[in-house]
Amino acid sequence: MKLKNIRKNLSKVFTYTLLAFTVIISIFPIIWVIMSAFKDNAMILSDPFALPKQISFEPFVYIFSKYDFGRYFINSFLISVSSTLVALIFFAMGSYVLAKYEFPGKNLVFILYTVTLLVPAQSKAQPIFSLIMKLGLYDNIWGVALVYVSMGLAISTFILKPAFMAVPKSLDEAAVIEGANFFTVFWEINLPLAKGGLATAGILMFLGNWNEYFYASILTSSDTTRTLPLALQFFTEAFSYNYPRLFAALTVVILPGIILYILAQEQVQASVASSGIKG
Amino acid sequence: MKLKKLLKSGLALGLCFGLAACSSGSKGAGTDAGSEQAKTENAESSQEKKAETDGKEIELKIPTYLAGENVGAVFFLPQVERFNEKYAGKYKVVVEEVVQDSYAEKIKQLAGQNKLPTLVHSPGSGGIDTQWFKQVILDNDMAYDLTEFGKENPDVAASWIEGSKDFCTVDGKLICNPLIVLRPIGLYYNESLYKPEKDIRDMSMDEFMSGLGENKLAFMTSENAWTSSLMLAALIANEDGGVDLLNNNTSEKLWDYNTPVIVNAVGKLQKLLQNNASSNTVGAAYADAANAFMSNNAALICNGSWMASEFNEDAKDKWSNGFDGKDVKTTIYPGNIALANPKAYGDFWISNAASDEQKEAAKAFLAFRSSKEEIEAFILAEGGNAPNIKHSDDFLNKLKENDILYQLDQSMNENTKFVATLGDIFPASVADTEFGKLLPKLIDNSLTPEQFCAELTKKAQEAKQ
Amino acid sequence: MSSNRKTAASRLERKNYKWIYLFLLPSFIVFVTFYIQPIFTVFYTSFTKWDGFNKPKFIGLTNYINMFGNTAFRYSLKNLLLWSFIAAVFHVGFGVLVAFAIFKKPFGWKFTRAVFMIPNVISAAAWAMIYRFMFHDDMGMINNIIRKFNPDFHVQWFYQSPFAFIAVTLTWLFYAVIVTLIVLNDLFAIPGDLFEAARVDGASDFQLIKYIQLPLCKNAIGTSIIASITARVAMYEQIALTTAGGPGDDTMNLPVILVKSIMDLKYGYANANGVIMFILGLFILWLVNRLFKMDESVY
Repeated sequence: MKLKNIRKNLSKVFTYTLLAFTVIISIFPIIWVIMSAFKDNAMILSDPFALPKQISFEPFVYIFSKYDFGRYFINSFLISVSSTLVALIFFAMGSYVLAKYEFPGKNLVFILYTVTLLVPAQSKAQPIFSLIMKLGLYDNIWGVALVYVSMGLAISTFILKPAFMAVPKSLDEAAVIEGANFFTVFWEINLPLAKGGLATAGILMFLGNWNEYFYASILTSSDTTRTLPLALQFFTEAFSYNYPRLFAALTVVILPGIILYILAQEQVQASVASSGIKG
Repeated sequence: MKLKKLLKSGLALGLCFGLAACSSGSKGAGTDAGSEQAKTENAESSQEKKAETDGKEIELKIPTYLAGENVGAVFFLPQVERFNEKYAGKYKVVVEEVVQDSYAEKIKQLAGQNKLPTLVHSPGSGGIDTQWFKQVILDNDMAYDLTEFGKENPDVAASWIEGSKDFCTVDGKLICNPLIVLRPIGLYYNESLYKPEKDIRDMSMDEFMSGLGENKLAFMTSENAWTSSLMLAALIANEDGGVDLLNNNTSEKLWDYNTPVIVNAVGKLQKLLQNNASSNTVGAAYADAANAFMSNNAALICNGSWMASEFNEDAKDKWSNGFDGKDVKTTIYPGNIALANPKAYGDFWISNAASDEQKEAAKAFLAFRSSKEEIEAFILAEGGNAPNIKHSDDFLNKLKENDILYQLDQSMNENTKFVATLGDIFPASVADTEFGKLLPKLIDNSLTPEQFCAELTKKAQEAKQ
Repeated sequence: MSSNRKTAASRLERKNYKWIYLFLLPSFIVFVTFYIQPIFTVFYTSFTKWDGFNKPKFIGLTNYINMFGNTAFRYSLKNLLLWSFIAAVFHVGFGVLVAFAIFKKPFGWKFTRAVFMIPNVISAAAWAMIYRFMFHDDMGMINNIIRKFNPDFHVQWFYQSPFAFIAVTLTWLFYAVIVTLIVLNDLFAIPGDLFEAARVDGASDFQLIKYIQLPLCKNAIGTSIIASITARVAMYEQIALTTAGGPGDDTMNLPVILVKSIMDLKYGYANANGVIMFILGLFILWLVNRLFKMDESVY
């Protein structure tokens, strides 16, 4: 009995140490970034882990008065949300059949989707640029959104395929016997049951798109189409370093991303809990 | 069985191709019509048409990295304003801000689609690679010949620096707007820490090194190891034959560093790095080196005239540990060496594919930029000297007001030797990463100067393959 | 895949081919539009000398021969092998541990799950600075903590062999949120009555994990391993912004070589590296699929 208690306590200690470690390594960088926005250049470089001496909002005032961050926020939001939603539907459909059905070419498709992760950005840049030019979507936020739809192909397939595989086949078969067609089985049985996976894939794609900078930088040119990460890049130029402004800009870029993500996560979790499917 | 499977997937593939083409086409059209951004798409062509129809103001879009938070923006953006004011109703320059890191990539992509902007920054600036410029732009005749421009604007042509003009002349064509201003790079020192016995310019390199004592230089090894590479260039220039070595290899680059000149210079650099480097040197990026200098942790830093503004009172938030910008003095390197390369491609070139109206506007802008008033304003803001321009007294008086820039200007005399920097003679990847990456091994003695040069040569050879 | 083994269910599938391919179509269109041409270009130009603009010149296997002769490439392969092992065992292991810990729903589990994602939101440039400071000899907290125990400890983490390899590894080792989330999805999908039945039989926590949870998460773990090893093959920013592959070639990997080659306008050579990346990726996919028998559903 005693031994069992000791073991139980040990396991508790281990669990909480693990969680505490995870929380610390995850939260430390963002705290450091926000804190640095309130320090001055010399202090960031000479005493990077000290607390700010006084609170100054000058860097925030500067970036908001010089740049149209409201506009960039709207652009980033429209691009990230639209591309994530479209991509999620597309890739969920694809992953569903890859997870649940046998068909000719199945392995090939899965392999092809996986290797997209390894296509170097440099070799993708040229064909994508040419495509967007031909579509007349250069310097247009929807051109960027279109490109972003393609970005999460491999990682979404990675996440969604096991998520659909975890939905018992017996449920599908039962539904078929009751007369459900292919689409209904997908839409009404598998999709709700794979919500956790969909949320994970969606959040990863959203955050990826929210932060993406390379394609945004080559596909847009005017101030009206600029996204948040692109604006952020202006502050990273080596010779004109001004770290408080860089970190103020960084804070302005990442905080909305995190807030949107946490809101979405709450939403999804609530609906997963209510659908009550775990039995 | 297998064949059948293959056929089927082939069929499916073909089907998809067709559908892909259709769907993406319609998607494009749909969003095009609906989006308000559509009006900015395909900027050049639509705006050319507009200019043709109303026939008055020509709009010229310049994508540039001299914008945003870039040091160059402080001068360039007001200059554009002045141009627009002067030519109101005739020309209008619209700046498209591009981050410096993505400027070259963007230009590469636009060149690939034959949609280059009218005005493009010259190779050597904005990350535009010299090799790329030669192989892609020059070999395909994509740069507009500015010879006529020179004849139409004799004042401008007269102020071009001879060496740069020759360098920009390729097959009888003037493919870049040549340099007017040379901005020699010297060094800064903090007089409260280090008082040289005589002007550093008049010392020999050995005198300089032994006179440093405990004083530190702000070196770097991260990024492109900029401040360290400047010192090495000065060291090479002080070896016998070093000046020629640097100045004669700017066009074809240097691929072999196993020469006594470079090995000796690297040996001296090693000594400096081991005895007189600021404590944060290993791993230091530019900001770290600058901070070492502006926190009294280094008494000297090698850098260009654009750093002068950091020592003004209004940049005080970068100072710490009792540093005061007023203590900063500047001069050139021992042996009367200044780093400046007249054999360079100048500031801008014009795309051959641009319409005549666009070219006209671009030439007007270049002529404006090259006028005496603008050049003098530029020198007052960012330093440098224009050897072919006769300055007014008014200008010279103003220059004296800017103490640091004036000091730098005065530190050069008719015996000063100007040499190219390592960035001008190293192949791109060696200059940008390999040089800095090897420095820590030189510092901790895991490489001798000979080995260092051999390693660097190996990297250069790999870059050539 | 012989057809005579197929059951009634798969006969049903055949009837569904129309649907199956229709479902596959959108994602496949995305693939064809954005990836097919780059993949062909990478393979084709790897046999050429190409500056990215003018017509490529066919040079046979020269790029590959040069590549294998370069030390940077050999270091890259060695590093990749080590990093893949570390990713598969320790990175995925850590992610799985966190998933199991969260699954027990201890105090603060939702919070942990939420914040574990945050490091993914912070841009690479900021990360590079954070790491540079963390591992800094004078100012960095890592060395300052170590010096509490060993006052003479002085190491330039990113710039000294063999520490640079360790430092680069530490930049990603514990950031395993994707693994955690993939595994967590599978854990939450385990039918509750399975646990109850096992509990009634008197199974301990450890037995539950060993006989129920781990086997049922097999696909998720296999997927995590594939995802994290491929991420190592494609890892660029963690290296480029910290060591740039140095000191010497200690922390080189293929994407760093690739970008450097493009800097020197060697697109053909760069793409030969790209081809090797593909081949390694495919090999990993095949191997993990084999080891985990991933195509079989666990239910």
